[in-house]
Amino acid sequence: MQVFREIALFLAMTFGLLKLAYRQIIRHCEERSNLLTVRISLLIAAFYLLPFTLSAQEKKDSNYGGQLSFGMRNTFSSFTDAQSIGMGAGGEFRIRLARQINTEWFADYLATDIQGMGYRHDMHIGWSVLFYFSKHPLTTGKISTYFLAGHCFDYTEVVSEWPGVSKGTRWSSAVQCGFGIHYNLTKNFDLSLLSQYMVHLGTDINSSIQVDPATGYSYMDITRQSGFSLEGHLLTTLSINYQVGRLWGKR
Amino acid sequence: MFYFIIFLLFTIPCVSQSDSSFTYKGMLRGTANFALGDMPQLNITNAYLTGNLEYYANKKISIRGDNYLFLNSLTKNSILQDNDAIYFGAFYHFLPNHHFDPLLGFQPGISHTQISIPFSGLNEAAETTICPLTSFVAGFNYFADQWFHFQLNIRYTIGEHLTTADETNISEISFNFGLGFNINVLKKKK
Repeated sequence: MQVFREIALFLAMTFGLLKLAYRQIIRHCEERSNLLTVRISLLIAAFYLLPFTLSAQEKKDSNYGGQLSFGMRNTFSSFTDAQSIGMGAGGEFRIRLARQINTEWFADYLATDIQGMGYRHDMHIGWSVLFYFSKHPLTTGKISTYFLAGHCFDYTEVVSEWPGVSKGTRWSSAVQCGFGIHYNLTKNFDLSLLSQYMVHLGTDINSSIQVDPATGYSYMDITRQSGFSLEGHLLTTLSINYQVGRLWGKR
Repeated sequence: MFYFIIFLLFTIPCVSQSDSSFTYKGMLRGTANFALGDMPQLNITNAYLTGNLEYYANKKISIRGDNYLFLNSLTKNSILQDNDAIYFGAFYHFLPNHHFDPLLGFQPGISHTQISIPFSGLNEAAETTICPLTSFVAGFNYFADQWFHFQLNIRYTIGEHLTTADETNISEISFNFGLGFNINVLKKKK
């Protein structure tokens, strides 16, 4: 029951804070620079950590903290403007803070074809906090489910194959949350599947299919949307991770 | 193929008869050999110089890096000009206490590719690009000696080459086998 109370408290705090932050972002970001957006998103991410930090202070969890894992991952991106599924490769490491709390730090490089008329490259570098629903997660032979929320910085490049269209690029910040599972094949080795929605906080790069009036050929046009947008995409990640040791705590 | 099946038939009985272990925590093994790859979407066959280095974190789990150096396409008029790749990931070993070591692995990777686009009857060199890849590997090691082993891998790679000139599916199934060496880097056999 205590776990459910913690989850309910966490969800209530999260949604309340997101709603508050969203209103503030909408109010300010149309007239201010992206730097403000980045600061606000960092603030949101910091609030995400608050309930986890409180949990991490429990004495009984001290034996679980400090576990360090390294892993490799493939990420599949869907529901973007591209209307096709992109694929990326990257790496990650995890630092476990408590029995039910883990952190994941990742970097990804994704490529997405845009209807055969252009492509999109995304580079993500960020971190997430994982909250396990089970009281004894990461047990060999069992599936551990978790909720995840975090923050990342990203660089996006959209390129059209049409000669007259210049490419669009942007740096932005993003927040993400989702659900995932670990399956521990051995004590130190796990397979993970994660599905999360990532919302970019910044200007959007729109790609649209146009018809050239002179030639009648279809081509991809790129426009950069001014102001603030909450453009996002669904990321599904398959990863393998190996626990190499502990940074602190009992070995 | 016939000789390969005969080889398998001879190795499988050895699995049940053997109780000594050649795989252990701290073992480092490596191999270098040639690989053949088939890209069904492009209908071409490629040749690679390939190598891998693998560390056994315990008897069942190993961490392994692979590289594929593109030599050439064996198909005439192939549009693939370059396709060097590196992979890194982990493998699960199903029979840790036997000479015969079947394995299954997952290795994300990246490749450096260049593809020529046919244009007005001529091949024009297209842009090179870096492609993210995902790959799954099935195979086995056969540890016949304390220092040497035989290895066979079948890899399925999924990827796409995206440039302003064209987008091309470079998914490939590749096959390699050869002799490898293995040493104990921890000096303490467990």
